[in-house]
Amino acid sequence: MTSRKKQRRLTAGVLLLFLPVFSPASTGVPSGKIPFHTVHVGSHGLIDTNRNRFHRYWQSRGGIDVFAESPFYAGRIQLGFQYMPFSAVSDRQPSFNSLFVYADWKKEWRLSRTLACFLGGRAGFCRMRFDRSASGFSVHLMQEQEFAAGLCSGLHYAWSEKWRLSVTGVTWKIFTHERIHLAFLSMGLSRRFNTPPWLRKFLE
Amino acid sequence: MKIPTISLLTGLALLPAASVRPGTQVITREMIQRSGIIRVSEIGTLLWAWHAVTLDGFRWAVYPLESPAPGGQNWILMVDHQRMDLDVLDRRCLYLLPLSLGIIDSVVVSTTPQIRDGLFVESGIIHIHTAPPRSGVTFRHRYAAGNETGDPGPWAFTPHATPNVDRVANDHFSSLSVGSERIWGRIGFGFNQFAATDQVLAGRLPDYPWEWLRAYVFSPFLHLGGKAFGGEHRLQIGYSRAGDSPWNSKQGSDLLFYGPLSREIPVRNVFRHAGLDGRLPVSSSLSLAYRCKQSAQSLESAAGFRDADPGRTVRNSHGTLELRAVRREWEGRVGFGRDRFDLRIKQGVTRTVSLARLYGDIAAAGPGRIRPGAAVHLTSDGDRVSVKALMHAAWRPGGRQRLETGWMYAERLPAEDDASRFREDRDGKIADPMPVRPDLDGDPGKYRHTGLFLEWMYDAPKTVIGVRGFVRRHRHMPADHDGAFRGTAALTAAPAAGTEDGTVAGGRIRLSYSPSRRLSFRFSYIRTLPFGGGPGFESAMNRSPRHKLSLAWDYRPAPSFGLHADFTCLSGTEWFPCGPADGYPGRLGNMVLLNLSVRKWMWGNRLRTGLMCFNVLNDPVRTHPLGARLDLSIFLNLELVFDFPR
Repeated sequence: MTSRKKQRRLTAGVLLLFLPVFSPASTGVPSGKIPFHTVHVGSHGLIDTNRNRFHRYWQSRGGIDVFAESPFYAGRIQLGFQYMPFSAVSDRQPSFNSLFVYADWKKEWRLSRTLACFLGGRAGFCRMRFDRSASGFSVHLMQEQEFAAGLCSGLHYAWSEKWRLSVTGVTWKIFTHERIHLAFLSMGLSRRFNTPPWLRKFLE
Repeated sequence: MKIPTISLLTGLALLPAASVRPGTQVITREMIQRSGIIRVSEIGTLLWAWHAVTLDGFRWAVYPLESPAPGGQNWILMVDHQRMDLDVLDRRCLYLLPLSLGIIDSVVVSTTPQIRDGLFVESGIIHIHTAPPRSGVTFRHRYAAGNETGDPGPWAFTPHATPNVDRVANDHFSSLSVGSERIWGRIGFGFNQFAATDQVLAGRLPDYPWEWLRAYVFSPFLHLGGKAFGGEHRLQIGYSRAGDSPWNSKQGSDLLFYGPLSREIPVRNVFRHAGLDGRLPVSSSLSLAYRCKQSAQSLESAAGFRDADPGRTVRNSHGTLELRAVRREWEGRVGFGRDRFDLRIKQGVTRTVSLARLYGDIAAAGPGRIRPGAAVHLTSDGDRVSVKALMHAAWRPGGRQRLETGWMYAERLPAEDDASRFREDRDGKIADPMPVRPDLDGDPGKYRHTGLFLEWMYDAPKTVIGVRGFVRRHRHMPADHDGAFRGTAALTAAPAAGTEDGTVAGGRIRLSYSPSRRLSFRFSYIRTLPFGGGPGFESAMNRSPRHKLSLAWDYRPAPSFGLHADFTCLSGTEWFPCGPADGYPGRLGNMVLLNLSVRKWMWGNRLRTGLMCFNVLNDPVRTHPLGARLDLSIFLNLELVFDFPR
């Protein structure tokens, strides 16, 4: 088995780990049915789990995901950004900081009173800012922005009405000419708020 | 939504309002919003019985599939009953329209022969209707941005580097309107940016500086309207300029494809328009309509460009006066109009074409449920007269069915084409005022176009079905107009100075189905079949797809949220019969295009957001062998609307 296949299997495994096993009867949509009725605000730590040709040139030590999530027409919508710096493996390439600004929509299923799983799709833009201190690179290419799309799945553990712990697997496909495939694993906390009436009115 | 009254000449004025009309597609404001397009020129991509061609993804050329491209370029572009003369070098620059999608109420597109605002529609018409301002004050600002995928990203610093293909689409539009019962006004501007970076274009423009590849289009406008003397009157003033940025010292140009050089030339392209139209009641059954306008289109060389001098201005003066009678059993109108086109080039050479028009039509309630009608339209260039005529009949056997048929005969004088399309001659001198079509020995040089159509329609509240058959015969059709871009020497190898005969037959099926208020579905298929034509005619027809299938699906789970999909299949086209030419493919294969869009309105519909994924399947779309390969692209639009009703 080639290393690329291994990496793909690893990526698929990370996702499958979080794929919900559910019956139609379990789809109780516990997340609230009224759009924007509540909002979860949270932050996750991120690690880059897969390895492919991209990682021969750049590697990451981790990143952060900050988001807000709310019920949205038969599912949940999440808006957020993921920041992850990538360090160049050699000095022939510049290091760069990536910022994914994204929106996702996901379906959530309750597995027990405190546990729920979810699966969804996300899309956004990946903004890449290259290290200016690196010499010999075109000034025009110090910044780049490209469309990215992917899947997300994971588990929520809500130990109280307001707080929950989440573990999420995310795959990203960045639509550069040579596509970049990334798989992130993230874990973190989020807190639930009742959406202020003025904000709910604005969003509706 | 306002659906404008369709011309009396189609016989429909005597029929009850219907959501479907023969050969007509109505694109409403809601449909535009759902589609996710961001510019007026992209409306061409929503036309189901028309073909849209682009070299760069920004400048779209369209023509009806019922007509081969040369004849198809006789279609008419109108905004609020005023003709827009946007033709430059044989193409219609829709991107110069001083408008924004935000103020468009509907677009009525028809290939049915008719007389429209004093002009005979033989191939087709695109009539854009702007939304009349509401009573009170309304401000709207629209911002749109786009991004084509396929940039190198970090790979640019590795052995896997590829060129940058980013296409910037940074568009702004603002308008302020003030209205009352008797008078209203709207002022605003549009500002579009575009950069030609596709490798196909960049490959033939390797020495062009970045400034020439970037276009800034600035389009301010003023619309005034009011009621006076018992009637309604409208004034439109618009200006549009493609070239340098109006805000800073950044230089730019409009890239126009120029056949003799087989590549684009950077120009500054300026369009001006001022028009007044209205209607005055004479008696309870008689009214007088008037239209007059002045427009000018100027081309100048971009700074530093020396290869060809396009410096020239075409001015047009147009006026029409029309008397209309409406009685219980019949309707009719007579009118006359005058057009004057002046071409002026830098060296002082001028050429003038004057055309006089006289027309009349009548439609009556015939025996049974039949509504017949007829029309005649005469055009004179001072020496010769061309005749255009049509007859039509609508039969409503009862229920929701309707059967309509029409016949058309149209002659076009060479001067009618010269007038709207002063262009380069065959030696490549852009401003040499050559006639488009030289007269043939023993032939008056009239292009004759005969058409026949039959359409059956079923119109129910949730379902609309239309089946149409048509035949169009062309005689002495100018062979050297391919309607969009003539292209390289290989393209112009077709008989350039002659005329062609040929026939196009075909059919179209369309279906709209809305099972609920949340869900709607539309389908259209058009098939064209040319025959009886010479090599030049066949060559022209081969550049148009013979099959076009379109599907649209719209789902609105909530009033402020919706999802939309547009799916289009086009058959392949052949451009160079002898194979690739100058490195360009001789044939373009079948094309499949899927666009997905999502929209969400917030803040009581004051903030309207939309996101469109163009070409989701990411199979590169190419509509012309010399054109860009359009990959998956993302377009975002945001619109702020503040309404202060009186």
